[in-house]
Amino acid sequence: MSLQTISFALKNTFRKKSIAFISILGIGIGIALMIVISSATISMDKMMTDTLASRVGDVEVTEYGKPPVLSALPENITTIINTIESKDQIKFMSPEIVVNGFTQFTSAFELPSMVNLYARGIDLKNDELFEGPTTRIIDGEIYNDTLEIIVADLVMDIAEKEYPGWLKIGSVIPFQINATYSINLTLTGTYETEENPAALLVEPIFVMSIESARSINSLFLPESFTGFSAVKIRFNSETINKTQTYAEELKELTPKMTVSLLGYFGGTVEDLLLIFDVFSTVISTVSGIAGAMAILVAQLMGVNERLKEFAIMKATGWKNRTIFFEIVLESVVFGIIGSLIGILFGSGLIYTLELALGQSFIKLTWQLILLVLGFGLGIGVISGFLPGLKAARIKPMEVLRSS
Amino acid sequence: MADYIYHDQEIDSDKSNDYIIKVSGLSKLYNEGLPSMVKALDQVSFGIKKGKMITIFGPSGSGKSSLLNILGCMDSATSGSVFLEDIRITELSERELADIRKHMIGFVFQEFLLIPTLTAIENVLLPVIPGGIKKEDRERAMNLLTQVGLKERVKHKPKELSGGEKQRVAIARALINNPKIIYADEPTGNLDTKTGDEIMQLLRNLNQELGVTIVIVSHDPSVWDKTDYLLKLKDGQIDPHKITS
Repeated sequence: MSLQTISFALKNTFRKKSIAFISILGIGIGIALMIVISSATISMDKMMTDTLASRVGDVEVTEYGKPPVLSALPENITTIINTIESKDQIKFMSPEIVVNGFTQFTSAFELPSMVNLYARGIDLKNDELFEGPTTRIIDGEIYNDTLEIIVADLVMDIAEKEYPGWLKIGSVIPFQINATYSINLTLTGTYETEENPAALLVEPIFVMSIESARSINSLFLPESFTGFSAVKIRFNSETINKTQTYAEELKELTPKMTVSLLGYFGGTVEDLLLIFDVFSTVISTVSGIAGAMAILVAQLMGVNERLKEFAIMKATGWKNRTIFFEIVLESVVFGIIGSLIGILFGSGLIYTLELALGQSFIKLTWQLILLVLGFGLGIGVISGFLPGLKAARIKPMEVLRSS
Repeated sequence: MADYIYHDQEIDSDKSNDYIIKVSGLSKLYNEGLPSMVKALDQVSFGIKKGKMITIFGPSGSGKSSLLNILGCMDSATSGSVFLEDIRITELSERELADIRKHMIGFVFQEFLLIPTLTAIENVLLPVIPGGIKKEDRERAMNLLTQVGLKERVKHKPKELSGGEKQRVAIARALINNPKIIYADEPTGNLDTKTGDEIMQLLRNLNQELGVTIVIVSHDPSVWDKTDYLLKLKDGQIDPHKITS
């Protein structure tokens, strides 16, 4: 196929400008939709995978059968944990206190549904090992004293929007513990929430010292408690399966413990990703079929109108194969240009969504752009097949004499 | 041997290289074996010498189109043989016929059939597009357009050309591959008398200057006078009483 054949195809593609425009627009809209959904799916996948990767060796133990807020592990829990066979694989541990009944501090104050509104008492040295919230202070400072607290920056952002000026560093705020108790806590700093929103699933929103957490819990616990609610453990593990084997060892210990893998979000998130994947595939397929149909109809109409041209082309020595490829090439031009328009539309939609959502977790990757162009190429080839055959198979003299 | 041959024996025994087209016992049946069978051509034999210009005429249904289709390598015969020079085209594949069309034959049609998106020179170059247009092709196209009197119209698109000019472009297109035969199907059918005469004169000039054999199918008696010979088809056969020169 010569360069002139390609140039000829390009000229013919836009012969019927309105039909070409509508076809390309149709493909573009379908592809834009596909791009947005695929980008979101890829980004969510990546987000989850990154979170999984950074926490693949992390587990958390709590008292067996109890939620973290009611869990009571003995004071020497780390010593007990260190008796497992794979103790050499333990990189570090962080025994922590989950504040009991730490509910939303004002009923009008709403956080995103995926955020767990709970507080923890954390030892600073241990948190540093896990590169936890206290290592990411962006405003103010880490708590020094009992009844001081740091909060995630997203809480500050939301509070600023809802009640401007109400929540700021140094504020003494009456935090509602449960229906009976409230306690004044001083806000000393804010920490940066991990860029990855999935991290919110495993990180506390309010962080304080172990002592503060114990003080709050003592307000409604019947007896003084010197143990811990949970222990975060990081194993030297690169796969979730390996971590799972260590978790099994932990389950054999006494007292019996519930072991959660922090690098595994469980069925809900995976199901969500699966739904996204299926949704994305369905949209892609529908877009592909709709795009291909648009090109097919436009090309069939074009071929019917141009029968005499194909007849003269054949009469002057064009081979069936060349005419077939000529039509397929025209369809491919439709597909590729439609894809490019789709990428532009899609990028615009992504940008708009990012502005609306206030976060940029949707990523338009080069791989996706190449995939979309390949997709356009594919629908061009498929939809050009039938019109190409029709054009190639005409009997020139029949067409020419009938005119 | 005469310019026309009517008998198989004669054409079979002719060993000269004077004949560019040799047709022997050519038959074309449609719907063969069915009650609706039509005998479009019935044992037609004739020959056309190189460099001649002839007109085939006859009433509708006489077999003109079928004959032109087969001579133009665009349809197959039911029986008989057709030679273009020494190539027996009745035995060639579809692909080989396309090659013959490209290298040996040029077509001119009543409706001009130019591609509306292409300029005059691009239309002339249409047959060479699949193989890639070379510099010498462009030069040849330019020379042909000059030869047909369209030197100043090379960049014009068909809608900017008159009927006569379109037919001149079509003739230049037919000549781009330096064919040995031009088949012209009612070349003046869409033109007024004066323009038709000009086109016929152009064809005659090209016939004489380039030595190309021209076979015209036409109902127009004014065309008949301008060719070397006439061949009348009637009911799929050559009418021996209507061969004139």
